[in-house]
Amino acid sequence: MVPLIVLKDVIRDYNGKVRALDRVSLEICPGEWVAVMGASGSGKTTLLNMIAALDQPSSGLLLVDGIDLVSLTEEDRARFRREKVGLIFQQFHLVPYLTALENVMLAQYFHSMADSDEAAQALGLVGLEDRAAHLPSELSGGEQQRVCIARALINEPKIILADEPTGNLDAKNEDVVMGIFQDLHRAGHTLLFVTHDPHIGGQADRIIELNHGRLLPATSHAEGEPPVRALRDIA
Amino acid sequence: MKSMFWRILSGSLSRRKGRIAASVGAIALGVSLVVASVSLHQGIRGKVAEELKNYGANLVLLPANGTAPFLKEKDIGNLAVQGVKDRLIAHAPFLYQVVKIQGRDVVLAGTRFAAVKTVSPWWQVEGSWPEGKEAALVGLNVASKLGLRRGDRISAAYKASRMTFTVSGFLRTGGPEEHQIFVDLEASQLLTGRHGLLSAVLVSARAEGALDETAAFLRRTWPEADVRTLWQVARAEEALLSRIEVFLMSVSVIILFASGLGVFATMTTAALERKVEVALMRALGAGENRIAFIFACEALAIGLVGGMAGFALGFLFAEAISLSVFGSFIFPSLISAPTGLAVGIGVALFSSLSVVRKVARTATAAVLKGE
Ligand SMILES: Nc1ncnc2c1ncn2[C@@H]1O[C@H](COP(=O)(O)OP(=O)(O)OP(=O)(O)O)[C@@H](O)[C@H]1O
Ligand SMILES: [Mg+2]
Repeated sequence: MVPLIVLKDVIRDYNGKVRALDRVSLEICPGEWVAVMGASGSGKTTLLNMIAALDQPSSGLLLVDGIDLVSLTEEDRARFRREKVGLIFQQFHLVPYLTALENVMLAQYFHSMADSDEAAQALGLVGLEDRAAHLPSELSGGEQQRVCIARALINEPKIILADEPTGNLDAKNEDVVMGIFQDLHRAGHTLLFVTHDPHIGGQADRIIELNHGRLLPATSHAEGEPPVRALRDIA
Repeated sequence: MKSMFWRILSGSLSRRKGRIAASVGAIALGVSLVVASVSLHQGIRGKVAEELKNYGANLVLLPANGTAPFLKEKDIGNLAVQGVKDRLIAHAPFLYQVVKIQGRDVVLAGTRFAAVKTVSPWWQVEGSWPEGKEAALVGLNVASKLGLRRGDRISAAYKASRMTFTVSGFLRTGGPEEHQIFVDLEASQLLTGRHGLLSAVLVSARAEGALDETAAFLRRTWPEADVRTLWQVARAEEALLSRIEVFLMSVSVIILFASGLGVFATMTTAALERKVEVALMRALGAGENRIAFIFACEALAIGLVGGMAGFALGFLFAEAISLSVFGSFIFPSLISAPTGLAVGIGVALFSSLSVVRKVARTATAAVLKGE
């Protein structure tokens, strides 16, 4: 199968000092569900930002859906994101003066056309139907995170990039969100998500692990059984 | 159903009241300064020109060499033609003739006193201005030579004709007029037999713009008249006006820059706070133009409201200053409204769009992280 995402010897240096990604080579197939794990500061967000075309490699090859992201202009990157990816940010990034519903609609608006019924439905999916008219400041951290998830899914993007999407959720909502991810996976979306929780990571097809910007060779396909290394590192 | 565009705009305007109010306030203040300075600039110029009218005549029309020895009174209509009329403030006709009074030679001048009052405002009259055809205004010098007092009757003779006048007042000017006797124009024409004729016309023309141009105009419309400029008066007026002009201009320009900078600083700070928001829109895939349009509309709304409030405020400033300095209102300058609005909207647009542009040119991840 032709891989959807290809990284070859990708390096990302900050100010020529910090090496956030160190010769990362990685291939992800269409429809694959990949969990990204690793200690804080190991480069997980940086990796996601690369694939989302939010950031540029200092050197190396970066292909997503046949598009060479390195050669794109900022305007083409915006179009790439609009058309291909759904993003769930570690810091949520909701527009403070828009309601939960409007924040979801914003993604529709930039993608094609805002539709409040559809957006309300997406909020319902993450259990927030009764919070649609609330501003982000009136929502809890977990609720904000779920608005973020609804926003990322609303345009049914080919690739979903999630930075700790369950980090602020209780057990019940974690189950709801993981259920959504399983549905998306079954529907053929490609998922890449960062997690510190080996049991969450274990639900993915594969776990990749970063350590000081390097990709560790150990990867696993064992359902529900995370690699020993990852477990030990995180504990 | 509300469109997403309106949701964004109304959300931003209604839920960021503090920030919006600060921006509107900054623009209103900046615009009010610009409007006040431009209005005062125009107004002061007009006021000073108005006050300069009190300097009196700055042009004199005499019979041209080689033509008739007199000007024709009916040709005064030449001063009322289009293109000349607007440049003139007032004019007064004169007919001079040496006559015999009590056996002495005296210059008798016929004129229209109502016009003289505006053309020669510095004339000081002891007693009262003449009224009617039999009253005379006597120069102080003549009065003392002839030993005249108010109410005295004097008899003027020219060739075979003779006329009697009553002294209504004495004239002090500090000039040659003190050696003359002034009577009504028709009376002097009757006495000298020069019906419809004039020796000179004194003209008070507007000093703003070149006086030379006005003189050239007059020469064309009234070829029988020799137009001369009374340079002492004219030069002083024009020099004063142009110096005031330069001063007012510099003040306006400085105020324009200072208030523009002030508005720019406030607006840029407000816009920079929204870098992350712009970057988020970029991250959601919005094109630069799309975001720029949203921010431009918001800036336009802020600029318009602030600009209009500033215009009203600036207008009040200008009137208050004018009232205390000149004791009267000034006519609102027509150029101050567009200038003020242009500054307000222009700066608001520029500062918000420059931030959108800057974010669009930077790696989105970096801006999202708050760098
Ligand atoms: N803008 C930056 N300038 C300098 N260094 C940076 C910058 N952004 C990230 N880094 C560094 O790059 C490394 C990787 O950062 P990254 O955000 O990818 O970590 P992470 O794995 O997502 O961590 P966490 O689990 O805490 O979110 C870190 O050492 C971080 O300090
Ligand atoms: Mg991170």
